Amino acid sequence: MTHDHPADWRPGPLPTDHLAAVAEPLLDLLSRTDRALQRYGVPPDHAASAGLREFRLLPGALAASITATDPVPLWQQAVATARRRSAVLAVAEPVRTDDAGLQWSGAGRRAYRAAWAPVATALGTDLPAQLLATADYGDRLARWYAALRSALVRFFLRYGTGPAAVTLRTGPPGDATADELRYATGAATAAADLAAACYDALRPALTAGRRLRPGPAPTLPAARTPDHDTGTDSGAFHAGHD
Amino acid sequence: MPATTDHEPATTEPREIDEAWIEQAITHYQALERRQRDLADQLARADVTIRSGDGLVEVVVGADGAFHDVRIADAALRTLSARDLSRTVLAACQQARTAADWARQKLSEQAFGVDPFGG
Repeated sequence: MTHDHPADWRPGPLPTDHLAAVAEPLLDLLSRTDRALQRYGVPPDHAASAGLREFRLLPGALAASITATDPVPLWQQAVATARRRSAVLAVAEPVRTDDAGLQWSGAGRRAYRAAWAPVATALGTDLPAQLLATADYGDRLARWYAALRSALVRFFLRYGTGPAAVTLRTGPPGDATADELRYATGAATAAADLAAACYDALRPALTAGRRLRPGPAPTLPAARTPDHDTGTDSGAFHAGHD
Repeated sequence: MPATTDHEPATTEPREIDEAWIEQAITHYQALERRQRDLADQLARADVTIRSGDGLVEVVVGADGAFHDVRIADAALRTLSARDLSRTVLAACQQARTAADWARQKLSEQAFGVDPFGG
């Protein structure tokens, strides 16, 4: 991964987020949806049942959790990690070439190289690769969450003023009157339609999220204490093996 | 399902939906659907008759709110002006609408209890 990304690589900007702008009416609509499903039930054989089985949350509760989570801080951490990688690469370069100027040879030189090579590899290759993998994973997570939020916005723009939404917004209050009873099954169907549409809108992004995994990254060597070293006490960090 | 979930405080964690919840929700919907049909049948059969104070105008309205008949006594045509007759008919219609609402609610409560939604 290190070779595919220049030393100054940074995660690209996240797409513009419009969820905050529509969050209030969106959550109002979906909380009405939740309430109608709870109060009036779910029509048999409706697609909403499959969505309920799959997501195990009512759409309003699902939308509330998505709305409450901002991917920007995670993306900012990914950018900060990418900056640290750049800094590590910058300081690693002289370390990697440190022994090139040594004018000595023999057993001492070989011993030095044996001790130094793992350190140089860790600083110049493994650590930047691990930082890159972390930054890349954070960026992909943030981007995935941004896609989830965009899917919620698209759902609202498509269904927020449709017939089902109007039915739920204009129904009688939940006062258990005969009028509410006459309204109940229509409201249940409207709520189930909206729930199914909401699940459909979120499904691709959520499915993509299940495939998100950290990229492969080398494991850094464990730090060793000086008494494990082979004769030097110059530092706590000693890469390599006994 | 609705008897408990409908009245959960808003601050509780969202309940995880399981198979039992879905089955109860479907059963609940089907029960409401049956109740709706029963109520519609009863409303269609129940009429309310409202008579004006002077007894000259009668309005018959179904419990579903549909007006079925307006009866004006011959004497009304002789004793009331057109304007007064209009007022009397309008007042009877308004009373009939109120009576129909009351009858509808009473029929619903008698048949299905105070809250058929489990409240």
